[in-house]
Amino acid sequence: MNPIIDISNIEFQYSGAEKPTLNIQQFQIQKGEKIFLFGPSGGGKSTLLEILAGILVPQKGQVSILGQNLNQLSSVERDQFRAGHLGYIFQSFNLIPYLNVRENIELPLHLSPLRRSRLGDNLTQKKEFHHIVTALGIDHLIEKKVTELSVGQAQRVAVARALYGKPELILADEPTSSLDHDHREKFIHLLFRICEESKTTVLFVSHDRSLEKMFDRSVKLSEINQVGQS
Amino acid sequence: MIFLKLALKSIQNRRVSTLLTLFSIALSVCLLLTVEKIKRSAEEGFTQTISQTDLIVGARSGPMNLLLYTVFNIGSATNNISWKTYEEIKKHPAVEWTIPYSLGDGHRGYRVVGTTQDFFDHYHFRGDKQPEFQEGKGLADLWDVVLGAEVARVYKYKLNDPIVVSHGVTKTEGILHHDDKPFRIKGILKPTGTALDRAVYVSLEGLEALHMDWKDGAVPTPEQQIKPEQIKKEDLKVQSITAFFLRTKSRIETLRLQRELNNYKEEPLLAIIPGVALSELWKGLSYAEQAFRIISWVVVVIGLVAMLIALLTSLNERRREMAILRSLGAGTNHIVMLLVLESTLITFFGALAGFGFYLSGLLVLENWLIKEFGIYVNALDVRGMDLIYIGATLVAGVLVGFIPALQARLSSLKDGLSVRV
Ligand SMILES: Nc1ncnc2c1ncn2[C@@H]1O[C@H](COP(=O)(O)OP(=O)(O)OP(=O)(O)O)[C@@H](O)[C@H]1O
Ligand SMILES: [Mg+2]
Repeated sequence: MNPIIDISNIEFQYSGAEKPTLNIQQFQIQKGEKIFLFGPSGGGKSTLLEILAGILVPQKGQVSILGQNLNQLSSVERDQFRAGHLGYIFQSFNLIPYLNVRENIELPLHLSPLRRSRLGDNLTQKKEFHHIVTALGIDHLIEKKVTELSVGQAQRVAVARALYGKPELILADEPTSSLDHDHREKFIHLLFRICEESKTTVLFVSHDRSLEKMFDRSVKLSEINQVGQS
Repeated sequence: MIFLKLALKSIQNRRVSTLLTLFSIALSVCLLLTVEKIKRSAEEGFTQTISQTDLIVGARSGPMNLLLYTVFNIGSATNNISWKTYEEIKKHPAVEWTIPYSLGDGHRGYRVVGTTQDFFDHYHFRGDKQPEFQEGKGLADLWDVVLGAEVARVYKYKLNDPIVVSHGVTKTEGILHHDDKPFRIKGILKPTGTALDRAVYVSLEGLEALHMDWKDGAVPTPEQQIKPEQIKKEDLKVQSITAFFLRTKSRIETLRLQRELNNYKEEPLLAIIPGVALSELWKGLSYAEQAFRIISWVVVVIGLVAMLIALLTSLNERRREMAILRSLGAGTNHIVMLLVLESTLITFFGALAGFGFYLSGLLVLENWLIKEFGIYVNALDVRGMDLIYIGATLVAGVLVGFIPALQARLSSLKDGLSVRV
């Protein structure tokens, strides 16, 4: 089976930085896997996610997502690729403040024809929308302003937005660190339940090792990253 | 078009700042259009003071002098034209109509003009407009007077009021009142926004009658005085007039006739084409208009700078928003587009509101302006120039919008998805 993420021999250094942040020989994730990525603060976890999202480009090496070599794409094509295949969840402040919950969730469909076409006609779009918001328990919030949501509700709206239009890969950068402990596990359960339906792959970054057990596999960044392993 | 929707929602979300910048742009556009309109109205009031008259003919003097004392009733003629000459030219085959025009005395600072019914029949201004009566009618009797609108308004004259004509033009000069010759107001003209508003019209004979009993420019002694009721229109013989207006049967004859009149054998005459002379005179007077225009453009620039400042200061707090959009697949060009759209929308609605203020302001003030200032404005007369100005403001708004947009693109490229504040 082809891996959904395939990294080989990449080296990334921020411009102006003294040494590289990342140097990864080999890292693969299979389709449908749910991976827990952890490591110390400043280790380069967010940097790695931004490379996978096609925002940052490593100076050396190859990054392939869904068999597509990102190096071969122009920056505009990488943007389109991200819009169509990736869902991204941040630690907090995921939502556009001037759009309501519904408009936030629907935004990726406007930015990606691919996501739109995956859902087919209007009716299927509506069904999928309804399905996701009910599964996440935010169906009563959809016409609300995002500024009126609790932190946990806002994170669930972010999940709905990341998943709407069935992208193949979810990149989540510490999405639970603003939640209290009880809610973290619930949040991950909800996320997984929807992801399993469509075999969505999840790469989940967190400090909180107590969540590790819920995942298929856990990866310590320093084990794949040559930088800092002298 | 999702970015248009985003831009709209985004500026709506920053309501106070948006409204303030929108308002400042609206005010500057309104000012720009108003200055342009007033400038245009002034120019038209000036150059269109007379129209459809092909030639103005007077005794030989300077062309500007002739123009000023006929069209604007300013100054006076050094010589008159004999009535005989006038009658002769009137019969010329190329002539369609003529209006005799005699400048006489003053009435409380306003010029008294002697003319005939021809004036009300043929005088045109601002294209095809003619003097119209607000009240009363034209000159029928010897002692009839028709007042320009301003004269009637300033001195609150009513129909059939008696009126005294003084000798000389200015108020102080008017020490010698012809108070033995009582004129009556038989008509008041509608405001025109031209020199017509500032004159008092009597018949040529009426003007003549004033001086009938004068000998060599001296005031008649009481014995010499002729009683008004003794003077009859038929007894008066008009000897001369100051000038006259002339319309040719076809425009191509104007130049030929002008040459002919300028070489008139019996009397030294001067014929001028009023349109040309008026435009020349206006050009000499209108350098102030350029200054006004520059000032109003500066105000537009200030409005746009206000927008620029508002957008630039909002950028830092919007870095998070840009990162979210990037994570959803928006490119940096989309970020540029979003911000340019925002400034475009603000300028567009600002210009639209400015245009609205301008139109409604003019509609409300239209009558007041013509009454109080004699400035004739037609609010609904929107010209290509107005649209060019609005268009230029829009283009400037779009260009100004690129400054915060490119700034946002830079910071978005630097931030990526993680905004470190
Ligand atoms: N734009 C940037 N320019 C220069 N250096 C950067 C930039 N962004 C991050 N870094 C550096 O790269 C390293 C990795 O940062 P990164 O944000 O990827 O760490 P992280 O593992 O996500 O940390 P955390 O767990 O605190 O989120 C850090 O040393 C950081 O200082
Ligand atoms: Mg991080």
